[in-house]
Amino acid sequence: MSAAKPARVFDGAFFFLSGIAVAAGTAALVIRGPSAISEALAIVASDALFIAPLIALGVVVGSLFTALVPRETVSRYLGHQAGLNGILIASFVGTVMPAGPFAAFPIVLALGRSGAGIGALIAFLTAWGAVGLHRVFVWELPFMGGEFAALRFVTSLPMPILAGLLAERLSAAFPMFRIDWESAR
Amino acid sequence: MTTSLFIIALIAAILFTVTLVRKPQIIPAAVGDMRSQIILFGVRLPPALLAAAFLSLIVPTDLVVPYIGAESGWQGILIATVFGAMIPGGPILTFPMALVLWRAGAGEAQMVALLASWSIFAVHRLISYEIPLLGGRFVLIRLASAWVLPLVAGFLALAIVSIAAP
Repeated sequence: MSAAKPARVFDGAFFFLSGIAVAAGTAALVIRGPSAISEALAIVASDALFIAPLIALGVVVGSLFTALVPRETVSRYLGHQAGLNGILIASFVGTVMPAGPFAAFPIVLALGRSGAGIGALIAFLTAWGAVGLHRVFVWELPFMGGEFAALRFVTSLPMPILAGLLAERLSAAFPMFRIDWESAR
Repeated sequence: MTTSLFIIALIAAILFTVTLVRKPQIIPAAVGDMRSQIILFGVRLPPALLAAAFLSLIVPTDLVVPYIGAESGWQGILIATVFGAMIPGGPILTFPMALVLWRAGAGEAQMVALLASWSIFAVHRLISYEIPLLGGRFVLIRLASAWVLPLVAGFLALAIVSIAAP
């Protein structure tokens, strides 16, 4: 994470979002008339006022956590765990690991090649993507509020465990659900 | 909102203290990381919020609520799951959109299903990371194991909401 290359600031995502804003703005102008502009700006101002400080603090939490828990620690805990234990550990690690996709996917690849079970890998990725504490702080809390964030977090907790168990069953039962990591790419 | 702000500020303060005591040498790297992320979000968030604000002006509330409102029950969860699976963007696009639906009157359990589905299917990650790095076979195994889970989360949320509601 610390060695992340400096990303371009005005990239595809920015222009994509701007495109949507322009398209939706044009539609709003046509439908609601010129007052749409000032109404939208008022919404943006009030949203930004409560969302921006929360996102900024979320970034602080995420960055400190990433720096405190290095990637090697993650790999060590996930390395050669198997079965339910491996799935539980992977679910926990995936939940608390705040890394972006540029770190998470290479970790899965490296773990797969070094012999981690498919259940643990699926559990890790599902926990990282669908439960993700980091996302709760940076996105869910600012946009949706604490009560909703808690509800979504709690209901997501079983997901990585179920996915991991199912992946293990599937790959034990059917050859099409097995991976040969050496030729996987 | 002030409660959320207080909680997250507290967590940030605790983490900062832990870092200061146990690994002060990592602080410069962490600050650099924070700065680049905040610049990135600072640039992307205004157009995202503007898009969401315009959308909230043109998406008619009475159109959304019958489908994924709190009264829409398990059918609403199904619809929300299908819709969530089709969102092709990262959180910076998805959460402002979710806020639009939320304000238009979407139900809590239905929003849980929608966001869970978005996070499981994650078309944007699939295309840019998962297929190139891990291969199609891995994606197949993952989706075969996880496709039903947004529904599970949605129904679980429905149960919790109906128990918690007076």
